[in-house]
Amino acid sequence: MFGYILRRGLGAVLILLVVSAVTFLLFYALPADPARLSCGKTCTPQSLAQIRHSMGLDRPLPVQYWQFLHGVFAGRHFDTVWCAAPCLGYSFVNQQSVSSTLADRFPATLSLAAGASVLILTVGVGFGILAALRRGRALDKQLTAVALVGASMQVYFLGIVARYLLVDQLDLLPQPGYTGITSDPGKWFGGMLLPWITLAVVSAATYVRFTRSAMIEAESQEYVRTARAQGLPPRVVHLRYAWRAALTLVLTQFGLDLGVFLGSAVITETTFNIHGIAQLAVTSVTNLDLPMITGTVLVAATFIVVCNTAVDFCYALIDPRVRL
Amino acid sequence: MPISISRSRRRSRSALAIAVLGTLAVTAACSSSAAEKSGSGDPAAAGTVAKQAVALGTGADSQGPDPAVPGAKSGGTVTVLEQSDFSHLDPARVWSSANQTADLLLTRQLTSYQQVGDTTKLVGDLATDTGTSSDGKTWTYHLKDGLKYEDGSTITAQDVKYGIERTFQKELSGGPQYLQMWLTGKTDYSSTYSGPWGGQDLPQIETPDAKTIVFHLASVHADFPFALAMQAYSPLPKDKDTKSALDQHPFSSGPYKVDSHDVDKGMVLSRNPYWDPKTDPVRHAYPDGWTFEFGAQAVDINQRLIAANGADKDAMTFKVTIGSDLAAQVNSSPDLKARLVNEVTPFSEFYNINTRRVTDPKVRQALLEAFPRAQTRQLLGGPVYGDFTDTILSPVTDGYQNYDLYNVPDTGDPEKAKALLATTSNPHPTIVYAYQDDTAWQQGAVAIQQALQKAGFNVVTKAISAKNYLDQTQKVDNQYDLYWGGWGPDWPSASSVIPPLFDGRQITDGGGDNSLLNDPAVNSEIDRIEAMTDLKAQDTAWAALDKKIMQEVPIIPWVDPRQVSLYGPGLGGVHTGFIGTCYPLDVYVK
Repeated sequence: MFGYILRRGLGAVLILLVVSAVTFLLFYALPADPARLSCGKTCTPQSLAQIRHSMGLDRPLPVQYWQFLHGVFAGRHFDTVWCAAPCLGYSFVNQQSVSSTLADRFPATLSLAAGASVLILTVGVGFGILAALRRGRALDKQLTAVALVGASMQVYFLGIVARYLLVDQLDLLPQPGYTGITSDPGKWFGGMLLPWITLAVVSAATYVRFTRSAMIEAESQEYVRTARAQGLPPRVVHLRYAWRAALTLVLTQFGLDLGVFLGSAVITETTFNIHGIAQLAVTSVTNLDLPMITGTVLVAATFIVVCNTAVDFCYALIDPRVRL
Repeated sequence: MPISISRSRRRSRSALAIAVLGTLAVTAACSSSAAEKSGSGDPAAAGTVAKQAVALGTGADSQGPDPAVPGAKSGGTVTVLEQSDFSHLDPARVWSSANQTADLLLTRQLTSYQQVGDTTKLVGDLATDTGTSSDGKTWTYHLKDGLKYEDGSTITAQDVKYGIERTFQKELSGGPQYLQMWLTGKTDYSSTYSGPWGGQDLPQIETPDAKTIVFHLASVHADFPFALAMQAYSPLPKDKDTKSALDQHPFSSGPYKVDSHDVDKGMVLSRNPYWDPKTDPVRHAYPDGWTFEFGAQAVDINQRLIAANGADKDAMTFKVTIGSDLAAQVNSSPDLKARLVNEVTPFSEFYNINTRRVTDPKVRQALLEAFPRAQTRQLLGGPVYGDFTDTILSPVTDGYQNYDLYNVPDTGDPEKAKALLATTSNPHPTIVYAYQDDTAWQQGAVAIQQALQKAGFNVVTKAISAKNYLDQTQKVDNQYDLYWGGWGPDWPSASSVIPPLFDGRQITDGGGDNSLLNDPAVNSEIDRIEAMTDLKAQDTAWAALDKKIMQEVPIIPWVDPRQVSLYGPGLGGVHTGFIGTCYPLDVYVK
């Protein structure tokens, strides 16, 4: 087991290194020049060179990348500013270190992901189990149909319509947005409610269908039949035996989704103006804020890699064959 | 200041694009939703423009307080909704209209504009008057009594000098460069003085005592008092210079101070308790505080302003405009119409003709005559987008004189253009039109191509990505013949329009003269006018030069954009100001 974890862990680190290098290369190759953007109208070649120097853009790409890696593990200087490890760079647009901006944005993203996950799992898995148990009956068909409608929606459509009706017109819900949970829990909850519901409606459908089909498949397995034949109560059969088998599939999907919610919920955060990491990524791209772009891409990649690695570990726990 | 095409970029892209270009160039006052605009503009929107000069106020005008806004009262908090955070608040880096509007609340200058009703005057703000000079080169100012920063310390002449010295500091990029060039007499001013951080002093500004400041310019600038009104030339005590951190949290000399600023998320301003309205002839500070929310899409901001639920009752926006998609709804609702700003801005938009490639003035004139001005404006919203213009100077410029040299309908006159082309050596010249690659401008390119082809031109259209459009078209050796351009004067005088746009000696990559006109006669006339010490005579001469330049057709004048914005029903005193955005200094909570 230990060897397996070590292998997977090292693999994850390697992936992150590759992602950071690729991100660096990609944005370095952009036609636009971030130094030119902060040089003003009557930009002389001298002042452009100076700005480029202070942004570190005049050094060769491998050197810049090495300095970046050095900053991540040991911190580094930007002109007069010291950026402590783990330093993901310094934004010349915002005059802030990338790490502190990311740390500042993370609670909003985490709130969105956590609340939406609770809703998605409760509704998605719950409806899925219900549909499986009532297979072929009216409830199954209704739940499947509702799930299909939800899955065919998009956050940017459902979100805008819901916001227009429920917030702007009927004034039933407060304006969506993030408030710190510690500063005002009520406002936090109210502001996140619409984003959670929207994200859940759109995403839960997958879980309904996964859970339903996995449950139905498990119910037809011999060990379930045996359990039933031995006279175990139906509740125990469904939840302890059949549902556990469905868990693997749901877990895989949830691992992927959580990774996305935590770093790449671009449309949701933009639609509801939640100042999270994905919105920061969009802002940074339009600002040509290279250090911030690199930071957000790395964080998003980290979440996806970490969540997937965690899913792998869970498999290993559930199924010993995986460790081989 | 140059304005960016992003006012028409809107909605489909992140609002932050505007902030980006704000650092490169300067954005127009507007934003939101033109890309999807079509058809139904409001014909009534294009009203007449108040054509009035901005006079120099007297010493008496310069005394505070600012005459009260009828019906206004103190108290309450105004919510300001913007698509993006202000790209800069450090006065030395502030040049775009949005940033300047924010700094109206946080900074004071030696001079500023007093707006009372339809009358705007330049008056002394920190200074007792608009300055005295016998030769147009040496300018003397005296500070008023009772001027305080947010910590209660006194604003001194040395602080004004330090604030101006900071604008020389290369690290503080983005601000205007007028004073720097005028004081040193060099476009490359930093070779003479590189800023105060290294401990150097700028000898061209003298401060014989704490309340007197004397500027020694290298050449005559009769409009020096106007340049001083720019937010970039605000005072700052040396020990409050937090360098790059000042950009997020400026040290206030104005009626409000920054309580908190969460970059890209929000900002909260409260009263500067030491600001004394009796010293300030240009600012009211009716609300107790201002809350800014950044990051929403323009469509959401407009919907929130229409709905006006809860605190949004007292909400407004400095920049976000409505498009023709909302124009019909707004016009059919007396409630919404009653809370709408709809005024022309000081900006102007035009189409540059590359005079180095299209060398025959007759061909350029034919381009102007065939150009579909109405069709292209319609694609961007029609009348709510702006008013047609035939001149270089905008109606809100001092000395503006209306004329129409070529007398063609707004839809273009291809027959007239064809007849003119027939008199040239090549009746079918090829024209390369460069446009920004998004919906409205793609459709515009089709309209332009069809209209010009009717007149006999061969038209090649070239799409440029939105992000690179200005960079590409502002290159001196660009390979295009026709491309969009925009400009916003930094003060209501033609000296902040004509020299940057048409002085051929200032041609440079990224510069303002994008028609690349370099006519020795125009250049020497610019020198002659700039050397005048009488502002009135100068205004008349600029207006004459405007007409003279248009005889060479370096540009196709197009529209003077409008600011059409909604605000909450709980607010009064909302209108546009000299910057072109919705003006915060007369706003009050009902």
